[in-house]
Amino acid sequence: MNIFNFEFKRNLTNTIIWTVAIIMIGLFYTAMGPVFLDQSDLLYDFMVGMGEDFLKGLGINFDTFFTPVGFYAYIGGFIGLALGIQATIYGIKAFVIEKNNHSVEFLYTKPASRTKLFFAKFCASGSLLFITQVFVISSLYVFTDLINDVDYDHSLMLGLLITYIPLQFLFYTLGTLIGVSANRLKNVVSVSLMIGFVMFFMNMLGGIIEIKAFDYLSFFNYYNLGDISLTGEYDLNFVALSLGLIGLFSICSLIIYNKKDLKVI
Amino acid sequence: MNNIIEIKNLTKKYGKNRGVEDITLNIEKGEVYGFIGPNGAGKSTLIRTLLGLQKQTSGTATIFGEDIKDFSTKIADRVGYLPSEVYYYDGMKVKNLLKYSASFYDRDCSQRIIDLAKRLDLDLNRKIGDLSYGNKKKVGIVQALLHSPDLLILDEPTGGLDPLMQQTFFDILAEENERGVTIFLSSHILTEVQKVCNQVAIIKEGKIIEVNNVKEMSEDNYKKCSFELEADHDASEFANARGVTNFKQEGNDVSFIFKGDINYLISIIAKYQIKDLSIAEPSLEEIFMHFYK
Repeated sequence: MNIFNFEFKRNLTNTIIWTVAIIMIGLFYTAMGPVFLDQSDLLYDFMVGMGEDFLKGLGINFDTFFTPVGFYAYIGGFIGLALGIQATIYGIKAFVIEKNNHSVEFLYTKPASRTKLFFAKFCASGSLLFITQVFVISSLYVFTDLINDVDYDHSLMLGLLITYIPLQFLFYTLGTLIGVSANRLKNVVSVSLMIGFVMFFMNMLGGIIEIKAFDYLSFFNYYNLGDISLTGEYDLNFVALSLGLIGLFSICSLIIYNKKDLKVI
Repeated sequence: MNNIIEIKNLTKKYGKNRGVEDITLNIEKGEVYGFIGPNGAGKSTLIRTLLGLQKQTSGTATIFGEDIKDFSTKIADRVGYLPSEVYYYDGMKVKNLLKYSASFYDRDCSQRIIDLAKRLDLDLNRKIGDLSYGNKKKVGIVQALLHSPDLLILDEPTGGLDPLMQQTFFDILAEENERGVTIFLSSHILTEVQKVCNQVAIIKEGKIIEVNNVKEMSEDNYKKCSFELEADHDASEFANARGVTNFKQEGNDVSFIFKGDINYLISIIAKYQIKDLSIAEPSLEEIFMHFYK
């Protein structure tokens, strides 16, 4: 428990900053919803002129866009991007920070097995991400309810927001895998930004040019908010795939963490 | 069980590169064991392998009878380790790092931390990142000793410590050894090995080339000979003589290290007219150089 507490406390301030920042971004975007809904006729004419492919790429669907849930399905992708980047940073950082500052020898020579170390670190960062998820999801759910006068499907709205949990854990476990595999990685933020943005744009491109591989390569497509808002349900194949990948990344990370030699300074 | 560390034919390779090769070594309970060799000889590689920081390529090793392959918490609980380069969490205060270190052990280490910090003149309230290299080393010493381990593994332990602090550190080691602690110490500073160790192993290019008692090594086996020739003779016969190394002749002054039968040495010296003769115990450094030339 001592390792968990240490790791948890070490990243708590960062988590508060990340959580507040993501909530602020979320509130800013969500606040634009009622304006879009009020001006829907004007915006419709304007957006039609943008072309079908472009709108597809942005994940805009006219059947749902001018509803609170549909509008959130569009802007929710950006919140997902921020959460994905945060999770990747946490995953990588939890396992490279000691390698970067060379303090890993200190940790590895203590009476704690590598499995114990792995789970303590993994759970500490995972718990902090869960805290972010709880605050972000509840804030956005409440705020959307407060600012919209029109009636909408609250359970569907919650269904969209809840997708952030598996989405973050997908990025988190991918980050963990990178973290345990790298001998040292100084540019944790840059790598995480790159992973987040590449997947985000792949998802957009996938929507336009319909390359099947992109559907699988981008985690954002596993929980496509546009499709969920339209159909009211998750794509169970992708849900299974995402859970499988979370498990696979976690198990591989644990094996590598246990087997890997500590690189000589 | 008398052997605290038992190493049998241990090899560690980094791909095709050599780490250590075919090391066999036993360290008994209560010994202060020196492990000497120049940089890159494989000292740290062996220590890191023993500590489970890297897996051996072949061979076996046990600490307290437990296989290092599964460097269990049971072993780690009884080992104190001081790395050659000390790195910790720079943003932490010394006392918080030591508290974190102590939290891994199922015993109260708080008084021991205070006592050791006092002896080493270490300010517990400073941030690690603000400390000099020597003070970081002191933090390393305290964190290696705070849980009163049964085995101390020290990799180049005195680097960064001033001579007074080195003496304090050696005093602490002597006290630990008195209470039965086994010490395995690697160094390339031979005088410190000579000062504190009773057994020594010399490592060259990843292989152990000599294991001996420090006292015996300098007293019984090796002799440092120097003499002054009466006339300007060529004494190069010594250079090729059995057991002679590090041969030097500058004018009439001749010096070398000799290992072997002293009567044989005297029989050769007797062929020359000499003014002065000195046969002394060499320092460990001179013996060490003998192995490396």
